[in-house]
Amino acid sequence: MKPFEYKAVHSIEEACSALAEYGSDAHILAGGTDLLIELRKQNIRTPKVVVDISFIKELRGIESINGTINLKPLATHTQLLQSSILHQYASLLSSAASVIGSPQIRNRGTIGGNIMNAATCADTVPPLIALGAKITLKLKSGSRQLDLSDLFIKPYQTKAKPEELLTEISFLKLSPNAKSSFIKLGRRNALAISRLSVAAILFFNEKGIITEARIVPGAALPIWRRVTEAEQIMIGEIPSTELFKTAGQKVSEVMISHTGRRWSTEYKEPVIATLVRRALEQCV
Amino acid sequence: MQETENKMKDQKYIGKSAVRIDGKVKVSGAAEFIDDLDFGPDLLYAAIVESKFAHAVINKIDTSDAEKIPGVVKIVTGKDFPFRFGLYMHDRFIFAQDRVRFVGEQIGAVIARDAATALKAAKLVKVDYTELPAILNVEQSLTKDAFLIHPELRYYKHVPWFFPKGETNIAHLRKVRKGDVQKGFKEADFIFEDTYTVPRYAHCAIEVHGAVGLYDNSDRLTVWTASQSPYTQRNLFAEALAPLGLSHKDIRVVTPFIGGGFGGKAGVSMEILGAALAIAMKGRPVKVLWSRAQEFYNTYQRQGLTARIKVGLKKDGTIIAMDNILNWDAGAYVEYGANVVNAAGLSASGPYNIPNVSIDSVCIYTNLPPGGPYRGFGYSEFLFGLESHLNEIAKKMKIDPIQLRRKNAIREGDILNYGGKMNANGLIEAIDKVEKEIEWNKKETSSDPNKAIGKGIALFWKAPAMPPNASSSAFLKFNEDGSINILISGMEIGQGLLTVMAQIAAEVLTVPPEKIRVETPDTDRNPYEWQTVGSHVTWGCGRAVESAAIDAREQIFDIVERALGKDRKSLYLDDECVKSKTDTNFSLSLRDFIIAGIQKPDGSYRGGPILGRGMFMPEFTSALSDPETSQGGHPNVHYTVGASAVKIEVDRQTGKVKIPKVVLAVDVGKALNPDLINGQITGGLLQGIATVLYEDMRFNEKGKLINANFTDYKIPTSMEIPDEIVPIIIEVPQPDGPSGARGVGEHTMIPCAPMIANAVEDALGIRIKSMPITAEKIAMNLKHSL
Repeated sequence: MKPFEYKAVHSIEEACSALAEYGSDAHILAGGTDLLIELRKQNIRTPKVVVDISFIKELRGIESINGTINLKPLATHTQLLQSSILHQYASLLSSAASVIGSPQIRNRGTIGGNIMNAATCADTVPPLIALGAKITLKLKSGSRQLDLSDLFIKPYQTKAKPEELLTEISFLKLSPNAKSSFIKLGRRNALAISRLSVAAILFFNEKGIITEARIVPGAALPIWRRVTEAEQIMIGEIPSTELFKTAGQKVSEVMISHTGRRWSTEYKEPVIATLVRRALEQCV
Repeated sequence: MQETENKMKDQKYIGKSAVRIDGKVKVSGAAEFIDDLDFGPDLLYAAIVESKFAHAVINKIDTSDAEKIPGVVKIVTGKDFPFRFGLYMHDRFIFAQDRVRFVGEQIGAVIARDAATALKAAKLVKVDYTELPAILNVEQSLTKDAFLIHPELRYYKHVPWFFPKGETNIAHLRKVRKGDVQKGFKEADFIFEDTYTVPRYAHCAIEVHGAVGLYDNSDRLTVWTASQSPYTQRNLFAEALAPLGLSHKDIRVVTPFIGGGFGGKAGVSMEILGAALAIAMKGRPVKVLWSRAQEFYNTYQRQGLTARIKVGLKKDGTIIAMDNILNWDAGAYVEYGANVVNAAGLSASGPYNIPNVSIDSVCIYTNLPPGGPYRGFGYSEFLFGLESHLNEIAKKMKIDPIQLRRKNAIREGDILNYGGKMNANGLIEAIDKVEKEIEWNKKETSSDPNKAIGKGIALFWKAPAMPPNASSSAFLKFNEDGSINILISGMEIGQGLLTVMAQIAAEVLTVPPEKIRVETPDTDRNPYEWQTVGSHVTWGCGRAVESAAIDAREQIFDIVERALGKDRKSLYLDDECVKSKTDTNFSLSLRDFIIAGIQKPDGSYRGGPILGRGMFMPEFTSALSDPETSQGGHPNVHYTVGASAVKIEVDRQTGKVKIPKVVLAVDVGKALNPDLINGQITGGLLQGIATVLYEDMRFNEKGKLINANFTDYKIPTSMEIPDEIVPIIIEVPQPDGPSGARGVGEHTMIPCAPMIANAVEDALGIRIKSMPITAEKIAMNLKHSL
């Protein structure tokens, strides 16, 4: 482990000041489940200063205000999966949180860290993008809000400036006419990185016709996005296995058009289609 | 046969699930493992300079930069220890000399005041290499013009039952010829031939290897190791270091508790460094603790196998001929691994009665990490092919796979591959019970259209692989209060040996196991044991303890006879007292005299401390046989047999396998402690399932292991445990075992791979002939079969 400076901050202001001061020399520590492993690797990504934000009370918690849910970045995966608000209004997110790592990792790891680390296998990101989440990034002076789907440049790289601190993730509660699901495929049932995942939400009218669809695959595309090409196929339709199969195949096609063919494609191509179909079936 | 005594009597402690005597210390954290031992402020730490290449000549080693690092005490390289060592063949050096043969091989060591400094300095040691062509698979190694990995092979010292082929990369060839295999195939109505492959595996014990050596100023070398084999280590240290003037009496090996062995901590691998570095740093203890990565690439790996299996059968399903060629990827050094090849070769026809057998089991050098012992000792590997192949045969001949096995199953008295007779066994009973428990004849379908259900079966057998003179011994010391200390060098590796040894002594001496203390070995204190391997210690060490207890009992009767004039033939032990069949009023508590003796009316005493001594060597075995046929010897003491079956639920699209139920029946002879056996069955099944469904070792094109960590080398977690595990204990006594027991440690793992492969075939109709059978492989095979 290379030596580094450790700085604990106790308020958002203090955190932003520290980030402003150290810029790209700094790295934020929240739950530490990614950073601590990086630090041990002794690679060039080792930061000069580790800014520990885990003491900041304002960054903790899950709030429900009218029709909106505000997640604070220090909310742990365990808190997400235990939240009754999320169970009711965004169950795909609690499902995703429940299959991350192990109980220990879920107790330590935070949603803010999961987003900002920007690993393609991050399990909370596909549900959040499906939910249309917006994030707030704060500088020492001022802040900005952007769509989560606009945050990512490529794996492990975001548009957030080194001086910016993620302070909030918010999205609208799903209405009762919407159903959601999340499916993860790992090499084993715990402590496994997603090989593929799918977050899906379907909205229905009173006749049972699909009025809106959202599909976000995980670990499939270079950066996350809703696969509108597949979503559109379903609008105005009645749910059926055939329909979901077609949507699944479309997602698979889109994946290949983005990633090209690699050694793992032969497996992932049919399997992503299947996972999308199953995720959609769970939304009915 | 050396018959054991007192096996048919009513037993008070044997056969009961006594609570394990090491349970409390382990659960409470009081148990000490090698890294817990405190060696004080003088302790030095060593880090290893490792080979970057799979095959290269070392031109020069420059330690000057490393020496400048503050805190570095000494740097040691091959020139300091030009000594060969090895268990069955001396093909290794303590440090590489002029040549390295696998990525990660030790070239030198930096000794420093702290571990971080040692590691930092080791990276600064500059090694100048000339890279040689690396041989990374057996096919390449067997080609005519292949580079010789060990040009000096023909001069290596080895045990008499090895047959190295000089000027080739074949370190040992075990040939078995029974009957007339050509005639057998001529008489066969059907012949089926196929090839199955098994890759390398890592043991993945929770505790890494470690050794601490101290060569003190009295010229005494003490080495604390995480090991299954303290005496074998002492012997190998003494052999390797003899040129420096050390003899066995000067060397002491202490083994505290270990966090799993599974064969990986048998013999001597990195522990030789603990011994050598101590010699280099006289007066100060030196510690070498492996990292998890080193645990993967520089201990032993389970060897890879390519098995070509050819079976000839009559129309009715009788197997009349078998011809197997087993090519083993044994790695860069085979000092232990060649014996895996040997043992597997002798038994690679499986638990079947086949009149005509030909087996070539070939130990092949490659530039991959050294192969060596792993729970199952080669049997898991050949059973994968053999038991998969039998199912394919059954399918093609339209015979039920269980019927095919039952028809050909080996029975007591049948002739073994080397000419001996099969021991008494409950194989048929195991098949029957497993068939019933898994509801073999009930075809099941899943309510989920995405899932297919399949059932698979596999039989297994395994004999301990040991030299004919592998022996065990025991001391049993009575204490003033009537409690007992048993001293053995069989190793507690999680199997419950300490508990079972206490039970055996308790039965003879009527002292309850709670009053008996058995501890892990220290060669200064505890007497000789060959090794804790091959599922043999319950049997071998158990016999030694039993005989030590009988020895103590006879001493007790002797004292009572001499002091009190009681006829010793009338005496017996009951409830920690000596009693007499002829004088029912007589009862003398052991604690009253087992140290103090018995006082005579004149005030003098008779007796003295009771100290039982026991020894066991299987004197009926022999490794001498015809090298061309393996006929004539008696290499195996006995076989433990059984059957296992599984029900799986497999996802047709993703290939993911779930296990709703698994059953394993094993003939243990006598279950000395049924709970511990159920633990072995559960643990063995999980380890076996791990190798077939999850573990996947990957080397790059330069022979470097690229997933030497638990993130990329996946082993199952508690989330993958089968929904239901049914252990079935069968007891057909082993006449020479303690109370009729035989070993069971390895057998519970070895049927897993073919049983799962057979279940996948049953579910989906696809035959996967290479391990592992990952979700991805299943999905791809299914896709291509459609």
